[in-house]
Amino acid sequence: MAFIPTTTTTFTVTGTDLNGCTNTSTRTIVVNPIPSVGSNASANAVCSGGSVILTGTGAHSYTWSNGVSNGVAFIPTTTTTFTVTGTDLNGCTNT
Amino acid sequence: MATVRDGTQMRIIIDGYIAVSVNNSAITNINNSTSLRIGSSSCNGFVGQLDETRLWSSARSQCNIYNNRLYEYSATPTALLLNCHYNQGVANATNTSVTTLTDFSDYNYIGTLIGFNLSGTTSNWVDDGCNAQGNTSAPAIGTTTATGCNNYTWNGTTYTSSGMYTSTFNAANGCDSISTLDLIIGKPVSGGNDTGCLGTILKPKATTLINPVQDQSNVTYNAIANGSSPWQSFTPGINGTIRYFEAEIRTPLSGMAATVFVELYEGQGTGGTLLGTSTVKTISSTSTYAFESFDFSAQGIYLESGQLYTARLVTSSFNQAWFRLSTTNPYPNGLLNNNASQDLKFKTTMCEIKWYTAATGGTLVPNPSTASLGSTTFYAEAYDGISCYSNRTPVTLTIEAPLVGSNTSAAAVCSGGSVILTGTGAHSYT
Repeated sequence: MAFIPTTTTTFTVTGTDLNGCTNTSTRTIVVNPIPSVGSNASANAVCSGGSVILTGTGAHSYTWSNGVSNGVAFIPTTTTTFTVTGTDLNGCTNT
Repeated sequence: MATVRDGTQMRIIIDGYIAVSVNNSAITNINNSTSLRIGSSSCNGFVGQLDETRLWSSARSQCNIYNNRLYEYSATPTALLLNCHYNQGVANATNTSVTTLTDFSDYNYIGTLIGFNLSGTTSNWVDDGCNAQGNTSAPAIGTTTATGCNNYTWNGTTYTSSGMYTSTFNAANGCDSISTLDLIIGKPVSGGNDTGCLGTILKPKATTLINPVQDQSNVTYNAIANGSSPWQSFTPGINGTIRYFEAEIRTPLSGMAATVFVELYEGQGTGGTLLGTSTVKTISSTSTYAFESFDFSAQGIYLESGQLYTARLVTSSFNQAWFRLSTTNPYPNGLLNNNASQDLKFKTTMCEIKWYTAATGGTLVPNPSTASLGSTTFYAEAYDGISCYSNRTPVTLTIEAPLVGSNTSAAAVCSGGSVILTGTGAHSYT
């Protein structure tokens, strides 16, 4: 049955056969923290036709909404809220 | 009350104890030319009640009188000349037709009642009010049941076969008393092939010629006549203590049942030794041979390999029937072929397996545990259900742990992620 470990833990399973004999096996489950993802913008407001650069922080790679590339200038056409998702080296993500 | 003349010694014994004892060399014998009168006198007759009158031709000891004082005497030894129980008539009723007193000795005297009204509550047959009425056994210390392997020693005597034995012991009151021993003797196992279990059928091989021993004359071959069959002989191929004996019986008369039992002898019939008789059973008529199991479990008869045994069927009412030792196939005329491959069917009780912690002595382990890991040697011993045991055979019990493993749906997860852990190699997991 699925469960959610809260921290890195070594689990021990005890197996019992039909004669009542037992033995054990161990398994360590590593729990990685999720990254604290932040973001920066080269400008929070621009004139129509002006460009902006959005940059994610706190993770290893970033994906922005609306197809924006991290650290690459683009020209927004209207006032928009952009969301960045950061992924660390363990594959853990945050937004 | 008893009176005893022992030579010149005269005794009156009351309730088993000597009340008067005198020596009188002037005692004269009386003759038996006139009738013996009980309670009669030329002066006044006996006024009272009588129950049990015994007259012996030899002096009885005080102990014998003490031991038998409360009992009717059922045995009829030659020395017991008169044995009246007075268990006649209907108490205090009209008994005018019951005018004689019965004697239960071997001499069967008939007493005549004189001067009795034989009605009402006096001068009549009365209730004896005796708790011992109907108790026809002489007192004894009791019956002891015992078992022995090969032999059993009781009161200084060693017995080597099953049976009922009696011996004289000193009772608590200093008197001699007779005790009975119900003894079952088992035999030790040899050869190591008597490993059947209770209720299973062993098939010892008949290793020698098996033919009926026709030591009865004027009987139809293998047919029952005069209440018993001719003999069937056999020689078992193994040792064993049998409890059941299977034989095939055919009775040609339809609609008829009879009680039957089997006699088993060592040697040739009545020329040998009767080992035992089976319990009596009732069988119905059969037009073909049918197996019947005869129960010798009370004796637990031991049979030795290579010895000649004979058996016959004894019946209550069939005037013709066939009886043969069971085999896997029928044989004409009830003959068993001289064929070493034929098997006789016996059941044995050398069967129960007991487990011990040591080759000798040790502790009985009814159910060896399998819960602890490692190797333990137990010693198995066969028990015949009577008193004999086999040598112990060591058996090593090794309990190994299960090879438990585990699987996981993920070795690492991000905080908040779920995992499924699965155990392998066992029956249940925690």
